[in-house]
Amino acid sequence: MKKGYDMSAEEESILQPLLKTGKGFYVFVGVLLILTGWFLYCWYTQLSQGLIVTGMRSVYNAPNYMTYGVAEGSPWGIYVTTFIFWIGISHAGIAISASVRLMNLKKYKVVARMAEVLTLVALPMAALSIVFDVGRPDRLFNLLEFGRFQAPMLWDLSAITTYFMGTIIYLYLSLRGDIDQLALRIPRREWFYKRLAMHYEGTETEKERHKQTLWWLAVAIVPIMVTVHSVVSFVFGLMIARAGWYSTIFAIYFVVGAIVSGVAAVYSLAWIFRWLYKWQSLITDEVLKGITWALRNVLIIYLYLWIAEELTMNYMGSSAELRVSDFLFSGRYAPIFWPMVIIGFAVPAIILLKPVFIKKIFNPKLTFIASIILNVALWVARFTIVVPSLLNPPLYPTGIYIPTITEVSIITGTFWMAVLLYVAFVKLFPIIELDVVEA
Amino acid sequence: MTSVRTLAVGLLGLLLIVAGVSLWVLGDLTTVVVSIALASTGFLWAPLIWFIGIIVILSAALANTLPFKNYLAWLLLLVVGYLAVFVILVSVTSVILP
Amino acid sequence: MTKLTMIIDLSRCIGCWTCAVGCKAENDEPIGIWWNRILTNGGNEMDTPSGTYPDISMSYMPINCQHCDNAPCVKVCPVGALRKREDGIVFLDWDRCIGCRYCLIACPYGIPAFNWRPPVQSPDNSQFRIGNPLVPVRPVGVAEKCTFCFQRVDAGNLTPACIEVCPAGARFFGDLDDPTSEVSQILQTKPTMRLREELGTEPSVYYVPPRNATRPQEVSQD
Repeated sequence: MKKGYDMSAEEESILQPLLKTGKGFYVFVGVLLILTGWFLYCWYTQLSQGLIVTGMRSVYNAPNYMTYGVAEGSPWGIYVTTFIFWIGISHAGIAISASVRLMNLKKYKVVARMAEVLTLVALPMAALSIVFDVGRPDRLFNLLEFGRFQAPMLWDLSAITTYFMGTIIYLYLSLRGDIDQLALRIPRREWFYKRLAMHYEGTETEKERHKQTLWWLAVAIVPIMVTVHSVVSFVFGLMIARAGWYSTIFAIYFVVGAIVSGVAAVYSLAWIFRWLYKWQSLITDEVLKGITWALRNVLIIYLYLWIAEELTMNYMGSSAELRVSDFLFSGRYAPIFWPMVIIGFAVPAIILLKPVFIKKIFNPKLTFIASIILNVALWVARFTIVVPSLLNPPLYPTGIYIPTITEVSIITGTFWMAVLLYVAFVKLFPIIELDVVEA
Repeated sequence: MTSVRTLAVGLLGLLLIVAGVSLWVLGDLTTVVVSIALASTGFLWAPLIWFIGIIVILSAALANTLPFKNYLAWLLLLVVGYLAVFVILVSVTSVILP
Repeated sequence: MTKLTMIIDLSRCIGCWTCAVGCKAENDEPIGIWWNRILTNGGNEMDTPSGTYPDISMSYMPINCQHCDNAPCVKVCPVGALRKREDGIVFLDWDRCIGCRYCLIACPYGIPAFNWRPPVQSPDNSQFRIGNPLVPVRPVGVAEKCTFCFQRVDAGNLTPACIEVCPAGARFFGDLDDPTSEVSQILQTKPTMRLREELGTEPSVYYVPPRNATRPQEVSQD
């Protein structure tokens, strides 16, 4: 292995992904590419045959032989659910980076970049989820040309654009120093890194300038992050016509849920990288414990809000709200609702709360399992928000929504592509900031 | 020098944002027919101006840290890249959609 | 100012679906899509009486776009495909619609239909179009709904297809701002109601309530 520079052992450890590529990696990427190919084929099917290939249907009813199966169902389904999910995941990045930079929590610097890259990858996947959902994606320019600022969806597009641009600029500026270093350390890619570093000089003044700019950028991006998921919640929370959606606490409910998603995802990633590249000395138990602490606290707040929502719908709700609530508690979606509550919420809550009450040694692996379960549960939770309310429209309850295989194949495409993009980054740039070992 | 540049970029961004919103408000206040006509001629792309304004104002961070030529390259990359996503999606889907 | 209003007299409606079919023919609606449909007040299935035997009664509720003054669909459309015209019609611009289906969700009446598949008319449209040539055929992936027959209104004919074909004379249409119009007269003389008034949507469709008639003699003579 060519080394153009004498690297310390720790640096070489951080740069493992860039220096070595095992066979397992190629197999992994190969499988992902095949799955992505399947996704592309299914998307092609949907585009040529129309959204009828999904399980979504119109709201109104009429005798079924008259509607030829296009009515009596939910107009939105797992595409919109996954959109909310990806936006939730995207709350990882700046939550961690901002804490590190604004509150001087240097301990978590080691996971800051993996969180930022997660945001960068999650946001385009969220946008793509919606592109799959619209009936005429060939008219997307209409959003830029005729977009109405009174429409919650335009608020979504604005907030997501702002958040994405802010994050990519933030990531580039914090990466620039490392890119410059990589030009020395990996000579075969020098031409690539040198151009990308854009005349970075590495002087103290320049570093200070970067620090200052990044600080202000972090300050600007935090309210943007809160705005993003709030406007996503407004798409639902402002709909007076939809029982179960029309709620005042949706904004904070969604934002807290997103932070739980994001922090859980960062924990998962941190654990995976630690295990994969043997970074126990970098991503220490202390760091993981800290993330767990944050995860535990936001989870408690999220469960509090979730209970408030469910109770309000169920206790003395209007007939429509009771119908929605019954769908979840005892009706046709009970088979996914109760596992979500018991396995998805209660089990991770117990795992995370146990160390508080029973003094046990911190178990990173168990917390990792909890973090994965939480994100799956939160996906299901968003499904329970989107679909049951749509199956209970005001004038008459209608139909059922079951996603089709084509639909699932298309939306899982966002997961495969997200992993591919993330892996590409990991292979090109250090996923842990080089400063961490250079102090 | 860099601070002046940063300020200039920030103000340009703000100008574009305000222009975008104003054009939209004007378009909304006039009758539906007039606003459609304006939009069809391609002049009243208010949301587009708003989005470019957002990108420009955020790029002030880059203006503050990069050499000028490189800053322009990045700005172009961000704006063109953003639009390119729309162009690619629209072109690919319009070929396949009946 | 024109304020186009529709009144449906539920004491006259016999649930024959002629208005729905007339609408479907006029506007080239594809298979599966209905801009106007007739609900039965007794239950989800057609022709379900309400009440318990022997005290049962049959009444219907034709429902189409209410063309609300404070329309939620207009508010939420991201591209402004839904617009409230000066004459009161809430018009869905099929060239602008991107198919996000937010209007289907925002509508408190569950009105807008969506072209989930490439539209197929019956009989097949390619050789012979049944509908009014002034109404464009919509592509796959866009929403559609009742337009108060804008093509007829714009041509000066204030008689949408559904009003024209109703055999029971249960449907009325006109300008509420004109005190001499039929709709103004009916609103002044008969009890009317609108759907889901508590939501503040201000619909432009009024209903004269049905009578709970179980015997033909009780049907009014006018």
